[in-house]
Amino acid sequence: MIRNIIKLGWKNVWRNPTRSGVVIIAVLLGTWAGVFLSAFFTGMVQGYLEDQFNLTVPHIEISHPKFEDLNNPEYYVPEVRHILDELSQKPYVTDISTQSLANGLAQSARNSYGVSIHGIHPDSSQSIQDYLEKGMMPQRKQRNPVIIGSSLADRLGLELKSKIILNFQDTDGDITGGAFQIVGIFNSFSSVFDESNVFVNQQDLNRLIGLDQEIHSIRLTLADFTEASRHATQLRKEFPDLHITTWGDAAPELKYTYEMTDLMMYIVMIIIIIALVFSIINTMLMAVLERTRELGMLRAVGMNKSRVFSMVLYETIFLTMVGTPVGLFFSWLTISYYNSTGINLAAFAEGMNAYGLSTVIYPTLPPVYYLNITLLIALAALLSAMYPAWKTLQLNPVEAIRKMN
Amino acid sequence: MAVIETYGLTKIYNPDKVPVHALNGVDLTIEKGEFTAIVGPSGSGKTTLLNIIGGLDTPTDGKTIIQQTELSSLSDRELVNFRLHHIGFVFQAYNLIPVLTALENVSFVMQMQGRPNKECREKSIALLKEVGLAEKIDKRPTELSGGQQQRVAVARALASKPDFVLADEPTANLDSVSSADLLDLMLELNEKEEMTFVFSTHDQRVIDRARRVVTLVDGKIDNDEER
Repeated sequence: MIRNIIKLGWKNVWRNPTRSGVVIIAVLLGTWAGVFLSAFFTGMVQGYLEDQFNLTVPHIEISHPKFEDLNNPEYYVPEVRHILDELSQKPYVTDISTQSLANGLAQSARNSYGVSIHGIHPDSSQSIQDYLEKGMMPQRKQRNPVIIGSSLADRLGLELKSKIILNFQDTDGDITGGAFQIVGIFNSFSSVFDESNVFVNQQDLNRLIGLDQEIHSIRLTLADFTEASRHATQLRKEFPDLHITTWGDAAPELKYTYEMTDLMMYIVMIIIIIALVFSIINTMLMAVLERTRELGMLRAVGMNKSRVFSMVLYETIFLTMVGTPVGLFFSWLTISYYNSTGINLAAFAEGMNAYGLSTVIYPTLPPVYYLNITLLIALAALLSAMYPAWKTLQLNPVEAIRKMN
Repeated sequence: MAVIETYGLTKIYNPDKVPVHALNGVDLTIEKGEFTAIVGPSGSGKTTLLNIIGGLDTPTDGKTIIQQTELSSLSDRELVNFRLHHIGFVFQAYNLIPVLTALENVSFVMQMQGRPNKECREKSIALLKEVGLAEKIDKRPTELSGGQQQRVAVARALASKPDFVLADEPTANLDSVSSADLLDLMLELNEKEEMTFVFSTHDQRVIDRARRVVTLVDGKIDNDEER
């Protein structure tokens, strides 16, 4: 009998095709909009996190315990070779880079500005290369090459091949510096970063600071950044004399943004579903109330309450679940398309860059989210069905027959 | 053998406010194979009597016994099941399910009884053939005339193999030709299959063909005439 009740529920959906069509389209559009919006937010946050990981905050950073507080170049990572060898054996580490660091002042003929000076190894891959707008990366053979951000170039009135003076503290605590030639200008997702960071050859910076091969920071990229805390705990046991921080420790706001992403997605979806639920309840209530006589007849001829209840339940579920897969399919299509082309928000570049956001968003959504959305909508369909189905239980067959006659 | 027995049936609507005495102690016995018309002026209690006999309403006093089962002894769930297996209903406004075909409308009651689909289909086709709608089995109610719809309703009422069929004003919405056809059909089923029919009506042509006419006035049996 259950099959026949399901069949009747399905046929009842199409009793009024216009009305059902409107609800199905509403569910379809609601699902599509909700899922796409969630994918957009996820893409934006993921892009933001990737950019931050790429350039500013590594998944795990290892440094001398005193370096972070005092920023004194004498606090370099000891026995770096041994540590790097050990780290390269870790299966969860996908990339290792090193930097010498100094905080100082960048000066041009026109102006000066406080900057972080990153000494990078010219032979290792550097993420800053991805953002290079003009020129090239510092080469080993060049004498004091530097790449600076476009914002800093504007502020100091500099161009490619211009000279820039960088002043900073050496290992003895004295102020030192050197003249560098601009070989490249980068333009990242963040105008703040572009303005306050410059990249030079590690050997040039070390020579001026008074170091040899030493470095101040080991930056690890992990296969799964969400496992950073667990791996950091493990590393702290292995290297108890070093300062090991995760991206979550270094940038709590990033961790918060990451943790909030899922919640935000579900809040958006739940708001849309609540609106849909009321629309479905309204439609189903109309559908049930206008069929009072028929439902009364069914009760009269021997259809028990649970069967009438389940018939209305199936009807509501069909009404809701027809639009859902189509909506999910369309959102998957839209997300896939924009995931490859990206959504260019260049018109808002200035504002977005000020917040460290990339202007091209690549919407993306984990597959499990589609399943969760389907379950969420199915639950909403069940909830929507309860009130109209309960109304049918209140029906008195005698009154329904009186209406008939 | 009595199919329906009522003893002292009394029904009072709004007993606490403005009491309306719909039935006042109705004693009625209907034997198997009877073709009985319940007649009377509007408000005489015809529909109330049929509703109580059909287990759709409960009396204020008195008892109804259908095939040795007292209806008041049944729970709500048992009563629904009892109606499904023992009583066939034909309504004035046909009340077929509009999204189902004639065949499906007839089958539906049997499916609710839990009978196999194949049996439901074969039996429904046979019933529709019997009521003269062999060519219309795949038509939906909206594609049938009023008379044809009422014939489907009769087939549906018979589908559950009931002990009797209750019909409340079955010809009220039909023209004279359709009314006569329906009556012929009901009489034929009554004669051939010994199906018991109890129906309320105002229609004199229907009353003229009934074998027993019970006249209700003010909720009491005023006249009980066998023909």
